[in-house]
Amino acid sequence: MPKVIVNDREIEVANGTSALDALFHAGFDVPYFCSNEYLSPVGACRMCLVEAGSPRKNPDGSWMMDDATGQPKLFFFPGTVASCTLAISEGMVIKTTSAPAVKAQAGMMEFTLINHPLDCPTCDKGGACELQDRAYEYGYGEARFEFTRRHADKHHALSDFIVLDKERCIHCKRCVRYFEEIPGEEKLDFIERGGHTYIDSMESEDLAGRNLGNFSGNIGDICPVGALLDNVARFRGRNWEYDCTQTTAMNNADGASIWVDARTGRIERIRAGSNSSVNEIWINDATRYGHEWVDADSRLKTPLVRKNGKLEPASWDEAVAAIKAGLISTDKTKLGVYSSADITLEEGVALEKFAAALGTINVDHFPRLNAALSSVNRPTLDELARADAVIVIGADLYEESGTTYLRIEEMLKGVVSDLKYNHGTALADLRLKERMDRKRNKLAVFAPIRVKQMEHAGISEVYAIGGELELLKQLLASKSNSNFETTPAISSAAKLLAGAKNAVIVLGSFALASDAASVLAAAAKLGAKILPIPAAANGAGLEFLNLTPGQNGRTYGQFEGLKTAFISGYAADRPKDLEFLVVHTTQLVGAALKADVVLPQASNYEKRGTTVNLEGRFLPVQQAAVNGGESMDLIGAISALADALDVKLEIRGTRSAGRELNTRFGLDFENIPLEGVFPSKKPTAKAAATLRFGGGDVLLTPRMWQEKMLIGSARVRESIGLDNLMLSSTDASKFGVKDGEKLEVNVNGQDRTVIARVFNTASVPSLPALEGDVVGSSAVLKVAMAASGDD
Amino acid sequence: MGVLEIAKGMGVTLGKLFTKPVTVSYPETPARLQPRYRGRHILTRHANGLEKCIGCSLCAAACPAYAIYVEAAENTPTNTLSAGERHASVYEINMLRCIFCGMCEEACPTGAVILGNEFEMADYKTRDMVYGKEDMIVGVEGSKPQRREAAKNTKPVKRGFVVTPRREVEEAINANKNRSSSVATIPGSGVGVKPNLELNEVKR
Amino acid sequence: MTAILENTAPEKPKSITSGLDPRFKPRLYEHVGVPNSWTLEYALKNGAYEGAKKALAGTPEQVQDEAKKSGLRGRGGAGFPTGVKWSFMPKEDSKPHYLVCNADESEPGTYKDRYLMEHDPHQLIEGMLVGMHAIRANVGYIYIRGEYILAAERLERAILDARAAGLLGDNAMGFGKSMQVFVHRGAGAYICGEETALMNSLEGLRANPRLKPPFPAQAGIFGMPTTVNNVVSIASGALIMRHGSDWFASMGTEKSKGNFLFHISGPVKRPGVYELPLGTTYREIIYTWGGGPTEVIKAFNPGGSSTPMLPFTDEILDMQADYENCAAKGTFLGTGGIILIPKNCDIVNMMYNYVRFYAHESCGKCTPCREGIGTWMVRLMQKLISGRGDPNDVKILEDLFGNIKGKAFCLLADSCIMPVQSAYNLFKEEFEYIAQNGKPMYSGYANRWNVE
Repeated sequence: MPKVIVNDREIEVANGTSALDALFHAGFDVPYFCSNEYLSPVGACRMCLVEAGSPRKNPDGSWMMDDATGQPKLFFFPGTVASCTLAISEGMVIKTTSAPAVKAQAGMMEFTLINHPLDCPTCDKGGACELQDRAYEYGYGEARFEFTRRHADKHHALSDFIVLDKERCIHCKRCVRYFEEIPGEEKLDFIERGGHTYIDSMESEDLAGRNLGNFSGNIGDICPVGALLDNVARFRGRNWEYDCTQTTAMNNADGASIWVDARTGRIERIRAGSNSSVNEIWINDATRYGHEWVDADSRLKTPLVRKNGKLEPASWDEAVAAIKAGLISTDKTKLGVYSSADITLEEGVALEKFAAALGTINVDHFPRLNAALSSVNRPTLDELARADAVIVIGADLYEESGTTYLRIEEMLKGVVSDLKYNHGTALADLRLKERMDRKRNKLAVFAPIRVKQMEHAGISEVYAIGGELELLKQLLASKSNSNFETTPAISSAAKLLAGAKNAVIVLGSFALASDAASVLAAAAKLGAKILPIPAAANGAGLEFLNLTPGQNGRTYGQFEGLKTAFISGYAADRPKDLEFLVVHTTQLVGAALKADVVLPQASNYEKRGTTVNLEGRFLPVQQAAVNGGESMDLIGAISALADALDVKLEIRGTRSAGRELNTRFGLDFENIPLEGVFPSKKPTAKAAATLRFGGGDVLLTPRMWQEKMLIGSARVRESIGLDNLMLSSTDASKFGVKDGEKLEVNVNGQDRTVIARVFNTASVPSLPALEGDVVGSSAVLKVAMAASGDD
Repeated sequence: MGVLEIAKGMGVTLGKLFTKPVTVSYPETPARLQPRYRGRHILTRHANGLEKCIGCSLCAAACPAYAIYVEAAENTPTNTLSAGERHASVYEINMLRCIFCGMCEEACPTGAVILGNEFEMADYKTRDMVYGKEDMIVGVEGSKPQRREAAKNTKPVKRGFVVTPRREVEEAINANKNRSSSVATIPGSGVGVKPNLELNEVKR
Repeated sequence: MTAILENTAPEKPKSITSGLDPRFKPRLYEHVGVPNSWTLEYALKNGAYEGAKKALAGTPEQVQDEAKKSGLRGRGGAGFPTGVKWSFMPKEDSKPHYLVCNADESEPGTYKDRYLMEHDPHQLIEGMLVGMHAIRANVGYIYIRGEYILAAERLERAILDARAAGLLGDNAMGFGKSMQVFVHRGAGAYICGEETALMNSLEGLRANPRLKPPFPAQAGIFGMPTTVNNVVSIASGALIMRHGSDWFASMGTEKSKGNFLFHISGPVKRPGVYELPLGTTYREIIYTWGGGPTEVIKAFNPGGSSTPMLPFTDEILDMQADYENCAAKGTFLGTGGIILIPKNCDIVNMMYNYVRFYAHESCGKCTPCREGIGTWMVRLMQKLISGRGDPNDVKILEDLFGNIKGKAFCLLADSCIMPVQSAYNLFKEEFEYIAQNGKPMYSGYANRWNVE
């Protein structure tokens, strides 16, 4: 490895390292604004100026010597040079603290500051601002610029969630590059030139028509100044006032690291955390902005008990008494206990033990697949990013799993930012370029509807709904026999698969919802690693627990014969024939409205525990400083239930649950590192028959926003607008629906108004398609409503 | 020690017997405060009526006693409280915690919070010791209990001290008295707005 | 045998270094000004496409060698040997190569390409064929400045004519090779003269300069190997093939060979473009060809507005105009656009005009150019010329030179600082005078900015 001398320290760094990384590796510092760990170095801000020189070689390969010193002669670049775009070479000397370098950095800082407004007291970035810090460290300390600075629009909403202050922008271009390089969708660019340059989106003139995609919030994190700000957290607090907690997002199975910033018991802001092997530093917008429901008025904070047919607020003691009264006469073995699958492992094991103590076999978690995800050879997300072929089947990853989507984008670029230095990931990875050539032919996407990812895939095809098994069969046949007759897309995907060493097949909810077991078995035959997307946040972890119904037990959704039930999480409707129902939830919607006792549920920001992401990585969930009122997590709710039923519980807290899990997984559940860990031993995963939902005549497609986020935030509802129901022209005439017509769709028992969009192309699926929360759940088009019209 | 010394000492004592006493019978007689005496805070306004406070929370950050709590909100065309884009929607000082050190005044980038001279804030309930914006905005005379008393008796607020306020305090009070127009311009923006001179109801 | 030949070879004739030399004959501008010189008919009658025929008959390496032998150096300002540049293109790869002709002639004081393209477009197209052959390209682009409407139209017409005549197209000139040339019109940005910004603009992107490496020869337009050459370099390539590298090398000084287009602007009797051999003295260019100044001159820019200015002294006037001599004086031969600065024009006024231009043309990508020139320097100069300056402003100005020069992303910032700094060094007293007294030292042209 080449030796480099930074000031007085000699270090060894790999070839291709930038001078910026070399000097940070050596423990020195220079200011920089345009560089970012995961973006290409561009050298736009010119802050990281250093003096640099390197020896040269004679044509015969020997070093050119300096006669005076007898050492190889150093050829210095004239003046100073931007270190972020300079590759190191053997024997290079970098000076960061010499007089010319210091002068250059201070001079450049002065230029950066002349047009920057002195908004720091009112700026949401104040206190966490790179420009502020660097100006203190490297600036002159006083201004010589005496003219009026540039005035521009200070409140320019780029979307419902992001507000741009054009005056504060220092034109580092991070946001522009971010959109092109990370999600691969160009949304922003510089407009005008010279001193008039500003950032804007050419998406649409008016806010309503602007769509910055599902990953737009990240630009607020990487903006080195307060130009791009989180509109949800606007003026909610200063950076030093927040209680910041790093935890794992549990709105999907990505396991993305997040920072939850709370103030006076409210979640005010969520920022992306850094986990280089999972989400790097990116999260999707639902993870970032979908937190308003936690503090919304619709949030349940006290138990509710039905008195005289009406749900009325009550204390926990009253709730326990009501449960006792309602359940005292029931056969405990006939009680069904169910939980949504976005609970922590600790809560899961508590539920398992509770069911065992009750002696009931009617226990389940939902939504889940009918196969164990750990039964296949899963790649890590890093392996996915390094794969030489990726085939996505039946998934809309853009909505379902943002992290997987972005890691596949990384795969297309062919550069995984993992160079590890003393300061972590490379700040200026010279392998990354602006507008890199994407290896589109390494990606094949098959889905029953036209999905966003197809725009980036070299091979893509829309298949008939339910055609996954057939598709996999054809892929296998075509892989083993190149003359096998099939569609061009399948045969090129098979060819791609055959020629790849590290292929990965990603299976999404379209493929897995109905019969995951057969699909996984068919995919396993293709000889590639398989990454199935779990149906819920902790689906990959809860499968290790005994949370599926035993023989003849009732699965969630099939409650026939049950008299009483306890459901934790969002349930659509009160099961019929139930005498007594206890619901443990965060919002008073769906089944909770018809329950006998409603217990307030702690959100996933309010509890401590462990979750397992789609790779099988165990990640910690930390408790943020959020005031959830009297809400309790599942362990608390079960304890109350156990009190009511006089059942003795082994597990009465997160710690005792952790001790139980320690023995099963050989991990210390008290100290799971933030970047996650893979357990040394794994119990055999349990699988059970698929949860059959009602079917219906509408195909629900995945959406990153969850139902509860929509209910709890007007901003999210407005930004999404009315849902679009995609119909083919055949379906439209079948249902008698016109394009643009407003319709009612009953989704999981709730009516939703949607707008019909009729397409005349083959890319529309064979069923009307609608974005929903859970794929595979039921949705029924109310044609009668359509016929009556909406005017 | 001689007789002379004793006589000298007695002389001083005798002399003091005939001077005017330093002590005053407060509260019957008003106490005379020095101009720089630091008492209850005053939240000032611009000459055009807009509040100077921009809700930046720097006073809260500077406060060594953690006595200040600020919540900010955005100025809208219909509700413009301060110059610029941000105003304090909640501004509270816990007078029980406050040590009247004046660090908040020093930290304030707009000169919005200054320490006045009032000190008679003794009260019965802890929560009454938390002073909100409506208790400190310039123009409000007296402390909470004094104003309560005055309202009950429908008499002007009675204060037990006299003082010649220091320049900053006097300027702030005079500026508020001479507050001119109902339409103000946000400095630097050239936009005329009707300032909201009513105090916002505290929303928590 | 060879040794004898070498010994007996006649002594090499003295190189042509004056336009007055009877052996010198203008070639680049030979047909400029002749009626209908831009038609294919006229061009063919006058030997056009002969050079391209010779070039296409040989291998690309032969063309490169011929260019190297001739000593042709880039005429866009930097003066990099064209033959060497062509040889940088990868030899055996399956990627398409591109030749881009940089006809975005936006440098103030420079207008040589304009007349060449307006009056002799076929010479450029012939040069494109030669260049494309040399770098194994099948497609060439002529990126022409948007304001050059007549030139663009004539080029388009010439390309259509040449295509119809089989000189361009799938089987260009019957050599079985596809040769296509396209005209791309710019939208009026000076920065597009920078080769990487030009490539971005050509691709339809924002005209920001790109990071180098990768150099255009590795990854240029559309990520493919690309060579960018100036109009005159390309046209000279055609002439070298037509008349031979010896003809070209017979002109000029030791390291600066060939004919060159000098153009004079400012208070001079006959401003215009003059084709002269390199090595012609500035005295000859300005007095003999330009007809001499009409006013007292204090300085001149030797190669467009971006080059540091030289004082108007006898020593400089007797200097031979070539790359090396200019470099020795701390300036550049540049494009050969000589801008004479009259003594009566206050240098601060003049420099404000320069800075204003560069501030307007800054692309906004990097900080020193956008903020340093685009915001600060232009306002500082404005303050000075409006008479509101103070002596401290001159100190700040001097500091700004250091903070901007050599620190920007591309050369645009340096192009602004170099002439202004040289003016400052030469005429510091004028800067100090206007800062001190609020009015310029020389009052000629003083009302220039009143209009604004």
